[in-house]
Amino acid sequence: MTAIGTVIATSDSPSLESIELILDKNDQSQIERGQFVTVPKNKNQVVIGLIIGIKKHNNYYETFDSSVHEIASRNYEAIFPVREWESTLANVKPLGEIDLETGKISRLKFPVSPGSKIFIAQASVVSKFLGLDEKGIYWGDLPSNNVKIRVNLSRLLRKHLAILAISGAGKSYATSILLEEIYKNGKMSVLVIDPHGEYSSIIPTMAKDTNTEVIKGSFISIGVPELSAWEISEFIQEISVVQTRVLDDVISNIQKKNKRFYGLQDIIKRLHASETINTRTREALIGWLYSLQRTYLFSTETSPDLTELLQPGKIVILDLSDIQNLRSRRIIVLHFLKRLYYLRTHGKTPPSMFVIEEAHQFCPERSRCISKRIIETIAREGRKFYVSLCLISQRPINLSVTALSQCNTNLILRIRNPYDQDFIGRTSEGIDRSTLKMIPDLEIGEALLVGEGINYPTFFRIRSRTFYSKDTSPNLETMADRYKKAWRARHNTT
Amino acid sequence: MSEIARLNAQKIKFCNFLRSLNPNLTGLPPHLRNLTHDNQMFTQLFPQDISGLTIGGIDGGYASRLLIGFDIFVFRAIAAFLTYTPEGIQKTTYYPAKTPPLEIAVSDVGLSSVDFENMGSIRRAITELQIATQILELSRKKLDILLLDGSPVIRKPQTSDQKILNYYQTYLSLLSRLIFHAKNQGIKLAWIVKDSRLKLFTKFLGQILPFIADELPEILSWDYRRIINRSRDMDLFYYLLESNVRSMAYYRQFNISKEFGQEFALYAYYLKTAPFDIPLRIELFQSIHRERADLIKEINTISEAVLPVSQYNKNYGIPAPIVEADARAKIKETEIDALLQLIRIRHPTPDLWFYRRERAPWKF
Repeated sequence: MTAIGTVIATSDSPSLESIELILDKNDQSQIERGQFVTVPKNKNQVVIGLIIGIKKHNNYYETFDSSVHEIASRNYEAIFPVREWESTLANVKPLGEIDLETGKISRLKFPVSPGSKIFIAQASVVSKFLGLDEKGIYWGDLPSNNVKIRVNLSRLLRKHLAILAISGAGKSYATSILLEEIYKNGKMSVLVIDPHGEYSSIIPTMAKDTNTEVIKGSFISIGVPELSAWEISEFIQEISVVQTRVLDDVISNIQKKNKRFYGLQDIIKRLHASETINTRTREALIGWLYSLQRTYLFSTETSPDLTELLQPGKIVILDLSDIQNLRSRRIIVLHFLKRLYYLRTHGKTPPSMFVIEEAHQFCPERSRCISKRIIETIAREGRKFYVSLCLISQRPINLSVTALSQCNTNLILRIRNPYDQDFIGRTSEGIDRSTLKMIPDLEIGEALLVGEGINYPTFFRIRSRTFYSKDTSPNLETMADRYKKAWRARHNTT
Repeated sequence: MSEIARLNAQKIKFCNFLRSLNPNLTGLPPHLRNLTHDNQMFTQLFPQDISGLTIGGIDGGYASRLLIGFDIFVFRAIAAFLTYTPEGIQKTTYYPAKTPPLEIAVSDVGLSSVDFENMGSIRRAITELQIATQILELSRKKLDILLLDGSPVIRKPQTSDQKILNYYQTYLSLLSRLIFHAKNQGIKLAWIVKDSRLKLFTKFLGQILPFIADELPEILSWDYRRIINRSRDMDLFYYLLESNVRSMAYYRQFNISKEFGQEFALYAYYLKTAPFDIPLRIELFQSIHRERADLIKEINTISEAVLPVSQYNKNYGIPAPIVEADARAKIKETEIDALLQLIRIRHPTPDLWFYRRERAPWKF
């Protein structure tokens, strides 16, 4: 193993916070930012650090006074041995010491010495340092150190997970890898709230048995007889306690008549017929119930049957792409999460993960939203019942702080918006300024894993999907062609 | 200040005038004509194609510290060889190494401050010449032109210190060896003086202008004596020369050892490489028996090779091999500090060696 560089002495390096090194000239192609390096301390101990910055220096191109323009206009390389003077300096952030025999990690107590040689950290050392698990879920690779990012499932999902990135950065792809791994693991159950129908394409290739299921939004109905007045009131934000009590009386009257199958229309009829209810209360209730009925989500029976939905190793995708109305989507999310969480708390379903795509739509920070409360409840208490949330969002700043702050592990892909970056910096424990600065530069497929799932914030490359690797979303021109063909067919033109 | 500005304005006008005349020197009386081989005061040059040429530059670094009871000197000399192709530099090599170690010298008798200076400058020059002679004698490098930083002229020190005088003799001897080997191997050798405060050429101008005025009486309309008396070579030639133009070469009195059986004379001239930089002073030794035309040809050849490697910045025009050697040879303060630190660590009573100003227990 050859050294990649030598520690140099500067005004603030080597220290406990920073190590500056000059890189060996021979082969710098294998060095990159985000790479783990080691400085041998003694036979069994190494200091491990992360390359956080690389810069080149050349005395010939140092600017001074009026020569700035000259530098740009002249071809120095034709006259001077410019390359002889080029040196590459790297800045390493020391992370700790690791005992190679025992694997014990401790914080750095004393700086390394100037003149020390620096090596690329071996895969086994990095794995130990990051707390990776050989049998954990294989999410991606750290090519510069030849490390497979295998995260211990319990550490990752014992609490909650957030996947944050701009649109198109690979959130869904990264999530699908996670689903693949959970599917292969075969122990947990997963419910995916999929507003755009992105995950439906994964299932056919993943499922050779019946342990996966896609439920289209139009197939979903909420059985009114299963709802109490208090539960119905959760769908109506403006309803008061008094109005809910009146609604409860009406429903009780229906039930007293041994009517097992009834819908919102029956409740509305009953309200119309009642002469004892205050007119304003009655009209308000009728209006709200009528608006609920117009969502076409409510029926006399629930579909699908939620008690049997979640099973060990099963992945259920709730494809809401055919439901355009946001309120309807929120009603479904509220209903499903509430019921399934209830079942789990009573031990009637296996430990589960609820994946919520576009989580800021269902659990926004600023606006009122009917599904927000259940998501925040699961975020706060789900851990006790082995229910994990996986919140996915492209606008973390709009996502409930209560929910996001409970996500102890974050997978962050490229984020450009400075407000979102700042927000992530404030809500994610363990992200320092230098790490935060690297987030906008991430390429598609590169991610930062930070939090309880891993010992140290780590940038890595998401692995390729095993079950499904093609990008199913056609490009704009293909879609336009498809529409044109269909339109011509409809209008019988050529 | 306004007087300086007024003089400067006059100087510029006079220089423009003289440049446009480009006086002929052939009519000078013999005692002045023998001091220069050029026929004109200024010669237009054309940068040479340096493809295939290897041009070397030698420079030395020097630092010293006065200690109680002894003085310490550190030197480093290095040669950088740049081989050019039409596309640029083909290769760069260094002698004795890319980063040679420091050469340390200690004088165990306390030197006077004048001798301390003499010792430092002579030892530094010796280190540079040693490198140069080693290159020519031992390494037999493929080399076309060798440029050394500074002037070869070091006057004999006015000292009774025999050690310093011996060093001076060593310097002269090395200089002869170098010139001899360069001549035998057909290597063109020149010294490049970056900054000069000499008044050699202004003095010469003062001598020749009255004779030139015989032919060109309009010169007398200028108060040239005042201008010349209050100018140094560098600033006068800054205005007199345009880029790619050199001055007449002027014979400079400096006797070197004759141990190799040939007599050499030293010539100096100014060459403007960059439009807004002061000109370089270039000095070279030539056999006293050399024909006038050959000497002029040699001077022009060297100048036309120096031009392309010096033209990279309109404000700065030092030949690239010299820049490279200078940068490598430079001794940083931190290096000598580290050396002193080493002395401190290894000696039982180190503080007694340092003057009080260097060991004050506080810093204000």
